[in-house]
Amino acid sequence: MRALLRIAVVLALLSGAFVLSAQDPESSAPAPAPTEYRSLDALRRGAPLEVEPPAPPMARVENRDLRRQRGWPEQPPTIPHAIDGYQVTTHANRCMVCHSRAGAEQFQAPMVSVTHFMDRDGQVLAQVSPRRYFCNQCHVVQTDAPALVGNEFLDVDAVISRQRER
Amino acid sequence: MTTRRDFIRQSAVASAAAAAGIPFAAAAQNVLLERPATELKWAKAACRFCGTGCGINVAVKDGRVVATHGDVHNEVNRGLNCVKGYFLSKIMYGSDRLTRPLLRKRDGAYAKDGEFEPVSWDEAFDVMAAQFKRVLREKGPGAVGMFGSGQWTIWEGYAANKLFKAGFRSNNIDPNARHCMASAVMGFMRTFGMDEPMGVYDDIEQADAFVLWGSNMAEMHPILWTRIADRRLSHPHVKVAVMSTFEHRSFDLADIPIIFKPQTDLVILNYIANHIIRSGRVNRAFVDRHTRFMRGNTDIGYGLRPEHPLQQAAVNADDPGGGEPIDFDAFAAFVAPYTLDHAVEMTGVDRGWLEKLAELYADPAVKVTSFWTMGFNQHTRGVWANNMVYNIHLLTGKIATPGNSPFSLTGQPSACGTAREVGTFSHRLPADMLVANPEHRAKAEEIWKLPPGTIQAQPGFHAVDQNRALKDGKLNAYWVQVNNNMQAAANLNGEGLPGYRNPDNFIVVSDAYPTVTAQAADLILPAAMWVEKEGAYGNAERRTQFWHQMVKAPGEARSDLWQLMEFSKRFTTEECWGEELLAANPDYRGKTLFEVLFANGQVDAHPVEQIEDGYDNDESAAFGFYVQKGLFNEYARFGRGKGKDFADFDTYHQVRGLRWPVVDGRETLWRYREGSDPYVPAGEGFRFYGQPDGRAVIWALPYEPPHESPNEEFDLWLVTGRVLEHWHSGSMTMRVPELYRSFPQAPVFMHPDDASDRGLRRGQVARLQSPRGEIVARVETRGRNRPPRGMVFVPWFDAGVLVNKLLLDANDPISRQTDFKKCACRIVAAEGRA
Amino acid sequence: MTAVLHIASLLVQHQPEAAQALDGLLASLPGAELALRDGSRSVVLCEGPDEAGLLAAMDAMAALPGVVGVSLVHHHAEPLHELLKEIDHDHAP
Repeated sequence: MRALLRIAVVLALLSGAFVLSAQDPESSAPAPAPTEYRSLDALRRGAPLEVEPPAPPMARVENRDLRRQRGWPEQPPTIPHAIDGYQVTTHANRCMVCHSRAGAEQFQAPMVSVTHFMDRDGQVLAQVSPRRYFCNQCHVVQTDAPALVGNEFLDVDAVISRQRER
Repeated sequence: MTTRRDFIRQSAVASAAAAAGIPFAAAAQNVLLERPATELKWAKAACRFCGTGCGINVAVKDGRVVATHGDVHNEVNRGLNCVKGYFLSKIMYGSDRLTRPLLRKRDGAYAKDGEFEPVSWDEAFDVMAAQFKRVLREKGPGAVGMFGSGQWTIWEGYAANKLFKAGFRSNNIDPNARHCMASAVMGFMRTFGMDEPMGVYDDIEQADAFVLWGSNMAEMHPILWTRIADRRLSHPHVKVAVMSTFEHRSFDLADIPIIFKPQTDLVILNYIANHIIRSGRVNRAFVDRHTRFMRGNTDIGYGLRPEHPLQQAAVNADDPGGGEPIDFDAFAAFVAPYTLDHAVEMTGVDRGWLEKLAELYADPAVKVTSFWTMGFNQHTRGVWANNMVYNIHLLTGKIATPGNSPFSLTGQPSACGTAREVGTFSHRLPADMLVANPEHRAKAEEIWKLPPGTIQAQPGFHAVDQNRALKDGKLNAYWVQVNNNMQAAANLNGEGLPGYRNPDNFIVVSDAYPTVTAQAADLILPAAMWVEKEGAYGNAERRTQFWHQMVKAPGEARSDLWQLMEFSKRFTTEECWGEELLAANPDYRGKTLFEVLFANGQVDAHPVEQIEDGYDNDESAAFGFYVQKGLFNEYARFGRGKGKDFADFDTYHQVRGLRWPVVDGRETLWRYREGSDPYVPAGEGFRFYGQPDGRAVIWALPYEPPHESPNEEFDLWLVTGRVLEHWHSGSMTMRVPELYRSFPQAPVFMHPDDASDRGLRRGQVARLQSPRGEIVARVETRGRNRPPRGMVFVPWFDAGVLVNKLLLDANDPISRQTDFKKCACRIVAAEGRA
Repeated sequence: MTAVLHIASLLVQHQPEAAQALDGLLASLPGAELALRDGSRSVVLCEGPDEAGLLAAMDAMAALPGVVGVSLVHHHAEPLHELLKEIDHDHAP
């Protein structure tokens, strides 16, 4: 490891194009950035480009079963529980055990929306349409990862009340 | 608010209120009845992400996008979106949107080693123009360049192509589609003489079998995957074969799951060709009438720097694309060694699966559609892989008919529409034309109303060579638009970063967000994005889709189109063209590039009054004419009558896209087939009219080993790629809270036994190292990607895990597309970290 | 099988003090929601797959102390897929 880092430093010096800042590989914070690499991209977590930032803690999937507010009516709800080991294959669909019409009542889970029973031509089917079969193409879990960048999206209610205030 | 149901609910409440005499004022707080105040303005757009090209309905209220959903009227997705598409509403609202130009300064003046400071557009363009003029003066047009994108709108790519190839007379313009599509392009050109698929997505509803060659469509093309899943699950006879070097989500639908050793897809392709021939299932009538055979040059190198030992050793490094004509028997003899036994030995795949796979192609009763993306294209023999999959479709005649379709998918929303069709590659002109071809240059000069000889004959630096030329100080003034190439390009430590930070160079990056690439720049220009401008994209099935500007860009952000055109005003022909050209064409003296390129009587032919009522158009307002319409109409002349015909401009604002060629108002579904493609003469059945003799080429090409394989020191394969929730470098999706929180960091996916052998456990911090650099990430031994032993997979969306520090910039010598799927690495625990 | 959705609006006349109890009841009835209220008059929207559910909801409201009358003003039933179609003028052409 040390040898590799040394090689990298030597190569960097030889190239003459930039100076690799010497970093203690065991330190927990990135070395101070030379000015030309001052970190702008918050997703870099403060690290200059030639240094890799330490890995953040492994994010944990929120598993509280609390339904979350949606930003607009057609937004697919996020999954409020862990789905580790859930199988969705041609043989089995673990999600539908609880979220199907039959399962919803038994497991107190929300039934999939009626839109999911329509095929590509808008015909209503007795079962969930195969085009909607793979639930995780639209519905995703949420982890506890702390935000790196904010988002200033306003839903329609917020925009209307903003309009009223003016 | 949007459906008939909402309308009826509203009427029901209104009639009850009327019956009771409840005044409507009492309902002031109820959105149900507050129609004028709550009404949303809806308009159509194309999705900002992948090459599928889903239709989107966008709702605007008070100058902001407040909702988006899948467009039920768009044939591509019929109302569906993937999770990224559903969250399009939020991509423009990341709190760190760039709203002012930022220039590196010290003591009030530009300095390469200065800190970024906000500046006016005037100051930004003054400094930028001075730098470009300095380089033009000192070194000429060969030292200025641009790196663009398959995310440019059609007119942006067209304007950029024109500004560089005609204005600056530099062919050093290339798109990031080079990293994504170039091998597909060269595959099409070598086999068919014409770019882009013959089939359409409608093939999905017709096929009996699907074969995924190095494509994880479940995550990367989710909406097309919904169509495949729909077909497979509602028609039990349908089979799905999924091939990859590691197991991923698409295997959930696989009837024929195949994990092969890296690079041995070439063996499987020749084995299938051999199987078709040995089992007597060649469609001789088709082959004899519509194909011919070539043997391609072999031992063609790996696109490395010329002094690299692998390049030195390659016999045909100078002519990788060459070949010689052969006949069917010679082809049959060429693939004869690729027996089932040989394939089993080379690939590590069970015999049964290989035979089942080969039969999908060989069985004349099975309509088979092949899909591929980066597994094929990002491959040092990617063009070969493309040619070889066409081979097996051509040998069986399973092509250009509904359900029989070799289909190259794309990764960017306008990789086809802009990068390929507009020809923003360093060797191309619009409509498949080449800078090296004098007739093609003459045609472009005529359409552009430029003097003969304006366009240079020598192709410019392509993507990989641009980074090398920046490092070597040969390319010195460089403009990057709509891409994040510092994060995306291989060998970041060795080429990209030293190139951008080379003190001889001035680097400009236009983007909506402060990306890794922006961080490496000297000047950052704030860009408008998506529905903040009028746009057009072309998707993977040749569908051209338009949208209107719906909202304003924040602060001083301006579209790439405005930036290109406004910048062109700062240059005169004297500063860019050279005395020889001007002496022969004195009428062009004293003009600005803007006057020559854009105020040429064509681009400025349409008044702003022609813009549809109710929509802004900030570029047209700035320049005083309908910019997008003028650019598109001039561009459309390149392809008219050449099999790349477009409908008229206004039509595209009314329809959900049309698939070119559009002839007599009708789009074309299957090309090259009589009755479906107006360019095929009656009586011919099929005609591959991109080739002068109308015959597609079947290429005899071998297996050759990869550029780098695991060894004692670096004992693992490294494969990179994407995940469903993030698109490319994550600069948009990582700023959408729901998408970020769903998949916040890039882990190292690896086999649990490989982890335990190295004393690693799930969640532990590890260092992943290659001869070129290292990254720090956590180990993941579970989850959606399951590499076999001896391989790790790392997604590249995470700006905090720059995996391209590890990759070598080896590329396909024909297409110059980088191999992002194979290099050697090792993994060690990061001591002292939890 | 074609799924049908019933949409109905009800006018509920009640003592002003009964509003809270009515709201409580509505919260427990699937598909029922308060659309408007003006002191002693409430407009309730009901949606459901059949008429039986609608009638049951009306009975439950009528049985609440303080509720004077429940009348059906508007009733509409249509296949669900028709109802879920977008209204064109709301959207892009």
